[in-house]
Amino acid sequence: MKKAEYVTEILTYTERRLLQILRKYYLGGFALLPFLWLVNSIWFFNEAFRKPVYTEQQQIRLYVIRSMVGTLIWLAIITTWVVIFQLNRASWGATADYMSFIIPKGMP
Amino acid sequence: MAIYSSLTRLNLEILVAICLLSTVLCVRTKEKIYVQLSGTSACFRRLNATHQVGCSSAIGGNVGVIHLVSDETDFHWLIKNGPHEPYMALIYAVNFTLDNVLRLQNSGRVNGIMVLDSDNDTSLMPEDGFSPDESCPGDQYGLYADDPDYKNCQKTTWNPVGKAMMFQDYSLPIFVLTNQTEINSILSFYETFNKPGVDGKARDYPLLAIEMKDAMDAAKDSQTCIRRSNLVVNLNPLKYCDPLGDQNVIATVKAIPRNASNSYSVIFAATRMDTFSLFENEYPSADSSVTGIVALLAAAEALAKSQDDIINSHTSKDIVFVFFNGEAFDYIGSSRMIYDMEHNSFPPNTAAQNLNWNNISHFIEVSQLGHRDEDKLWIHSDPISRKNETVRSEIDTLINMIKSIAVDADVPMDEADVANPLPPASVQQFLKKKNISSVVISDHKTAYTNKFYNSRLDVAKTINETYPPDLNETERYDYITEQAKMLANVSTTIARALYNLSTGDTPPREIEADPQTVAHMLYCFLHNPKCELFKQILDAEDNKDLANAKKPFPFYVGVDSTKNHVTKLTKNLLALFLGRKINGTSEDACRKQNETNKIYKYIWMLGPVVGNKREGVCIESTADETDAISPAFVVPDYDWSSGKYSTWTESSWTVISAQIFLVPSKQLETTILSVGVVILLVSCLLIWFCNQRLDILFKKSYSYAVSMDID
Repeated sequence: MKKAEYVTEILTYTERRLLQILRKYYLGGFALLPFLWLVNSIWFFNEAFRKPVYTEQQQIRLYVIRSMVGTLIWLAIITTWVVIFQLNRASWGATADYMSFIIPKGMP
Repeated sequence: MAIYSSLTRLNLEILVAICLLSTVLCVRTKEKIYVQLSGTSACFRRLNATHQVGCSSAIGGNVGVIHLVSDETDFHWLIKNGPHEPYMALIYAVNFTLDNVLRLQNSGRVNGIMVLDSDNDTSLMPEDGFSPDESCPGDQYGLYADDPDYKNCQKTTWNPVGKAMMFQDYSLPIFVLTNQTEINSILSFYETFNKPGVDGKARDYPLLAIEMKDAMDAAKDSQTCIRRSNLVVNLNPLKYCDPLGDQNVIATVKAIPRNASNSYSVIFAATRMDTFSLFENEYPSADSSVTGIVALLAAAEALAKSQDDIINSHTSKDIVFVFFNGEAFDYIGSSRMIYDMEHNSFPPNTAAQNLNWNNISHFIEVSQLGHRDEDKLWIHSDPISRKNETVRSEIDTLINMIKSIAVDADVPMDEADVANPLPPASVQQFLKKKNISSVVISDHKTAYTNKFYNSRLDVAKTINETYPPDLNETERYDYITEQAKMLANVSTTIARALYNLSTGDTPPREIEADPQTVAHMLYCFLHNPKCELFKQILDAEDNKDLANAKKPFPFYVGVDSTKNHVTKLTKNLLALFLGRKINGTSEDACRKQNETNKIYKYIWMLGPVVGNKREGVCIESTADETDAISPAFVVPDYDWSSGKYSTWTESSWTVISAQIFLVPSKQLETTILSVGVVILLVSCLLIWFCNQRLDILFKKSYSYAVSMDID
């Protein structure tokens, strides 16, 4: 094998590996693990949008976009929950206490 | 190598020099700025089933500029004009009323209140009286809570000065300053720095400010904080609050046998042991409970002289002395005793027959006894019980008997208006169960004669329990005050009445309370706990505790996890008076008997000094303790909204402190901060610059290091 071919081989290999990992993380995210999607969105951002075009990029970009959407949905859900919980913690009484890990001192 | 060792030595020397310097000049910046106030007590938070009451600061403490509020002009100035808000109001005890506190709080310009309260200065005491309790204390949990004729003190308001300050939820910290030196120095600082000019013009900075810290952990109500304390989701579980409670003290004259018949008849002689006040550690309770405790103890001592007549007779009724605890907080002790009776666990002594309200033939309760109303003491009885013919005639007989004995013992005593209900008293819990012929003896005909009921000002001098000025401590201890003489006569009356009720015979003359013992107890409870009597009745361990006491022991029931000094002292005194000495026993052997002998309890006391040391005595008696913790915390799945039992808890807290300091003007503060920021930026720049030019700076040393290497 010539040196140039060898280099291309390694490069495509790396890109395939990347795609594999990305895919795994993406699928893993459906197991209620939004942080995997967050990792995807940040870590593969350059790979998907800022590198010169290569074969696997199309697919990488697809997964990254989907991960981003997933992250945003989760972010919206969590933010809403936190707001609802903080606003209603006192009035929910016992239920809220049982949900809490740390209960603030000196507050209802 | 040599270089290395000399370097270490140099380091060491520098270290030693720094240490030496720091011991000489070690004043932390913090201490240069702040002066701690040591003579303060704080108002803290308590909770019941529905509310939180009391005070709390913000988590980091509340800070404000001091302003002395002594008249209406000051109030107006503080609430309307003062430019340096938030303020901390200094207020004299005379002005410390609910109205004034609420005015300050609701102005939104005040961050805390410090009450100036001096032990030495009677002129500061409010003339019309002061009581943080309700005007109708304990009514919700008493006998008349649901009675259309008597509830809410319709007939008589017992505590008219009570404005229920205790039961308000304040949004700011309130402290009381009792140390006269600190009061003086704060006032002089105030004159120097803060006092507005004659024209009402505010002073310029620097101004004296105060920081009060007493952030409370619990909130909302008892149910919430107890639930949170019991949650174990966290790695370090927190206690948000603790139930109030302690122990009741009881003793019987006879040792109740295990298999006594159900008709075993007893007479209850009772009083309450506790009080409260708005502020931590300020629970003097002179008239509120000490007069009652002392009178009943002295009665026990007097009765003990003829107790063999009762013990040896088969027909005599037993007498149970009971000291209830936690009564000031919705009858904790008495309601718990009823609960124990319902569950067949009273008395706690397993060798004794269980008793309940059906066994009680008579109930005599002594309440406040330090004053006189129309120069007399008054016997109160329950109008509802009186509706029953039999009970009415029993009560009348009882009252007439006590009155005739009182005449003999030189105690002016009369019967209060029968249309009036009982004043707040523990017996009310028993009357809820059964119409027992019962009386409450107290020093008021209608409204309390005690103007400082359940307050920090209920001190010895309000019941004239004071000494001539030229006495030393030993002479004061032995001095028999007028109050002691009067109380001793009351005790004689009670003891003789109990004897008569028990045996049906005329009480012998030898039943007579000793004014000297009464004087000793008053001195020890109200003036100085480090007295001979207390030393004698405690063991070596407790005597060490006693030696550290700085002021009279508090009469506050406190949280259930700590045992009160007053409870132990009362129990030991009762044991000493009613019990008998066991000779020739060692301390260990004395205590060991508690494991085998269930009929009696054995207490080791240091006893009087013989020769040059205390030999110690072993006392055998029936004196015992029963739980005074509200059933609300015992009943599984208690319904908190039922209002059946007391639900009081005390919030926990991390720190209570108050410190004063001078605040500079905003201008100066800003300048200092800006200079600091500028210095920081300049040094950052400098370092960056040096870093850039490292090569130039350290070139030589690099080559030096290299040459060392080669060497």
